[in-house]
Amino acid sequence: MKTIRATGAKGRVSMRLSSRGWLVVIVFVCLAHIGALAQSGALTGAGSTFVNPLMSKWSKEYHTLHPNVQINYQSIGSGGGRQQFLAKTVAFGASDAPLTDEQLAQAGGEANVVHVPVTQGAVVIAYNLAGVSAQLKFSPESIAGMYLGTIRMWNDPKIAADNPGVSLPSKPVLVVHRSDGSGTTDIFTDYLTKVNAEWKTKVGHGTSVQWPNGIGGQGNEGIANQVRNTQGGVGYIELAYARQNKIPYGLVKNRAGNYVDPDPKNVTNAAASLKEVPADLRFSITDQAGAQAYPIAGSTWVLLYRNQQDAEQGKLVTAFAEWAITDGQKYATELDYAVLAKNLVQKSQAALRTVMCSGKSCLQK
Amino acid sequence: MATATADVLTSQLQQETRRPSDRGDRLFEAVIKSIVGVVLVIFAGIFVVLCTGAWPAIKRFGLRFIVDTGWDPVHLAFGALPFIAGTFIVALGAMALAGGIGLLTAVCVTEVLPRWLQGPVTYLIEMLAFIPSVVYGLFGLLVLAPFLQSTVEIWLLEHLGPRFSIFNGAPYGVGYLSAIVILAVMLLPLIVTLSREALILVPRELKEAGYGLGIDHWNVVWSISVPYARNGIVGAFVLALGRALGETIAVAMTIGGGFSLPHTVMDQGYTLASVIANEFNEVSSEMYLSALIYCGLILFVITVAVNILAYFIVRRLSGVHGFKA
Amino acid sequence: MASKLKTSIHKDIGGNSRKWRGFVGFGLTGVATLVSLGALFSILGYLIFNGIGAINWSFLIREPAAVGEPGGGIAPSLLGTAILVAISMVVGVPLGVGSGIYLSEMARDTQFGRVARIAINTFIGVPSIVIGVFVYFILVKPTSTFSAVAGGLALGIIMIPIMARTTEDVLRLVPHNIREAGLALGAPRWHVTLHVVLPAARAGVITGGILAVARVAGETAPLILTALGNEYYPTSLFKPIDEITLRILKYARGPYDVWHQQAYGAALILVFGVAAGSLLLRLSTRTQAPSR
Repeated sequence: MKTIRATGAKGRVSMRLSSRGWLVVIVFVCLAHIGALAQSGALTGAGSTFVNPLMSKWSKEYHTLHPNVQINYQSIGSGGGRQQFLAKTVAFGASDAPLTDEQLAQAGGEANVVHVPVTQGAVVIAYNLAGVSAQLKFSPESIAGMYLGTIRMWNDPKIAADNPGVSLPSKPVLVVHRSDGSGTTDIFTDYLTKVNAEWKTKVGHGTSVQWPNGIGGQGNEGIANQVRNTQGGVGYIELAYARQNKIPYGLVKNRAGNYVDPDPKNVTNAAASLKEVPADLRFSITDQAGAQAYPIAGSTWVLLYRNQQDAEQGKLVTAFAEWAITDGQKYATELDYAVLAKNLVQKSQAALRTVMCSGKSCLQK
Repeated sequence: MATATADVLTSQLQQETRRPSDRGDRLFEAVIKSIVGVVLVIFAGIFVVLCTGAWPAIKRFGLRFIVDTGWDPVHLAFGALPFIAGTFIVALGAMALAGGIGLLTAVCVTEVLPRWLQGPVTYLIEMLAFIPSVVYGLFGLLVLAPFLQSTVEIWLLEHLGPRFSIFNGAPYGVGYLSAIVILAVMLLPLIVTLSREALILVPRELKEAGYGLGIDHWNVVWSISVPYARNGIVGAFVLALGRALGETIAVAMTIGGGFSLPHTVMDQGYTLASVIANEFNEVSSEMYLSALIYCGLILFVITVAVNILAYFIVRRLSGVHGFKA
Repeated sequence: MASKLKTSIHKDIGGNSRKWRGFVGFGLTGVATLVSLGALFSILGYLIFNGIGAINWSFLIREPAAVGEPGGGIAPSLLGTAILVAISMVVGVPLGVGSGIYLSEMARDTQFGRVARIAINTFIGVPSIVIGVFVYFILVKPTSTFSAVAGGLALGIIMIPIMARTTEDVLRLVPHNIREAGLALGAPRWHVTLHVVLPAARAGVITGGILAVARVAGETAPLILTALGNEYYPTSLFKPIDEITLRILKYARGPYDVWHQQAYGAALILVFGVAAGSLLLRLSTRTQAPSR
């Protein structure tokens, strides 16, 4: 117990810092220094989980080439990427679905936003059926049926019709979809809306929809995890996730009537079928006409404001994006994404050049 | 009592001797009061921010939001009833499970275990309280859910499913079942610790009187000890309820993510807290965001109401039979 | 209770059946205890079994590898946790201890005092996700960035009522004769509070602080909306920052086995860090005068 110090008439008491007080001071000083070290080379991007394996690889490789640049990409879903882009809390957003007209208005108009396609990939139908070793085939009717809830068992006649000779188990189909705002969902529902009238009227197309059945996973990662853990599960994920985690996926019947493998070259086929690339670079490559075009193919866009408020940041992010669509494309092949076609790369570069830093093009040296 | 005397003495002293340190006292009081003021402003500020953010949704849906179902981001029709129901289903289910097992455990620790074992066992169970929510979620998602799916859910589906539709669901593993079990484990240390403390305070003489009358040990526990400790035990349950209503991450990781009311024990769902955690960063429209904040507002109101209730209940029970929260 | 005693006595006349009932009854309680302990041991067991393989030196000092690739570590999240906790203490400790002093030493039966007491006690129950939403709107959105400051602020707000409660409880336990002695010697009220009562309760306040820190270090939900997460070492307090529970959340939800193992490893570090801290605390406070 501390002895009470008698106070004189003045009532003043000496203040001495205890050891705890010094600790607080030291911590404060350290923190202040960290704050002062704020490097402008640290950027934050957020969005699509579809592109996360590739974006994360790009970030690491770019960091090796330019050690003072840290591209901190957080895969929170395309919905998140768009929302944080609109809230201006990130340097760039990444989304597998271009901004809607409503969102463009929110961003200050079409002229204010630049969509830069950086890669394309396949949304595969992944499943977990122990005991079935053959690669399953799916028609649009089967996929729509499973996700509408009209097909409940794996040995349903529709699925059996797609897979003659394969003995399907009498197990319930456990559908997994996205619970978050997802560009992958946008690609998937865009496809289903095009190929299935019932889906079009009942559910529709968007980054978030009211799913008739199934459970939700968070991100491509979440669906992949869920399908892996659930006997009889089926989910739609980007090819890289399926391949990296050895999750079986199926062939999908395209408009031409062929069952096509989601291989990157068939995604390129789908992209090639796109006749005209619109000037604002917003387009869809699902359900394309080519003979070997994979029907559930999509693109990822990096979203940038045309006028960059932070010129330093603008230079860094445009330089990164340009690297990604040129030198970075080799990592796309490694990770089973489709390489962008030459004309698309040219259009993307042109779009990047229109991003302004302090009145000049950001890419200008 | 003593405080009142000290206060009277102090103010008398201070009135009788005018000293410059009065200024010091007033300054100190002002500083402390402004600290408390800041805290209250933050508390009120939370409510204000929630109301502001929820306003577009409140204007659009009104109070119907609380009883509507359906969550359609494309057509912007939102109803929070499934989440409100989910919050209570998970909280009450977990409380029932944790309450039963926890109370029995507390009885075992106080009545059955030898003295040298009581301390270590209590400490071990208290360790459960040190495991953070996300680690419970990790365990629930990667271990418990697959386990429940391949054992309990499949068994229920095959044996009871055909006859009772409540068991006739799709065995995903994640869902209400996993969330309730994991939350129950999280509530266990709270219930065991507080019940044990309440049971320890039962006076020996009362129990010995029971034995003297020829009552066996088991009946002494349930007719004498537990009723005596009833207030403490109720207090424990009330605190557990408050905790259960606000639990976010462990539930978000195990409940699966469903936007409709459950029909079977294997269904997935959402609680108010977990739907915000999972969806907030990823909304597809401003109205969606506003609807989520509306959920946050409802959650805030519910937890504040329950906590105020708990505060008064616990205060009434305090001092009776020596229970201390 | 008298009627219950009567029925017990009447039941008792059953003879041997009461022995079996007691046996089964207490057996059930034993089973319940085994279940409780079983829960603890299975969780710890899985953490150790699955996570120990992940923990090595590079795990502790390297940044995360690219998605799905092996190697890499959780170093940014460990540092981030320390930074966030430090920031939270800057907010939570002064406001919390100050409120605790108020509730214990100064709250009279005035309107303000009563409202303050109820408010602070209910503040504890506000779900952390709601606090995250609050900080998102008052800090993240206006400053256009997720940041360590926002995350620390959210954690600090969570800490305030916890610290207030523990401080109040501990200060109330200080015997009144100490206060009266100080006042009788002529010391002003504020001096008695700051230099007599508070130091007397110092051990309890520090204990409360450490418990609050342990609690806050395990909070994930508010950080999702404020700190966001970072794959790299923190370079600024005004940029997103990683935290250990955020990393566990991200890795647990993903499909990669390497992520799962690292999640278990991180969880192991977190749980044993907190447990070790609390054990040390218990041992050190046990040598002092009985505080409970």
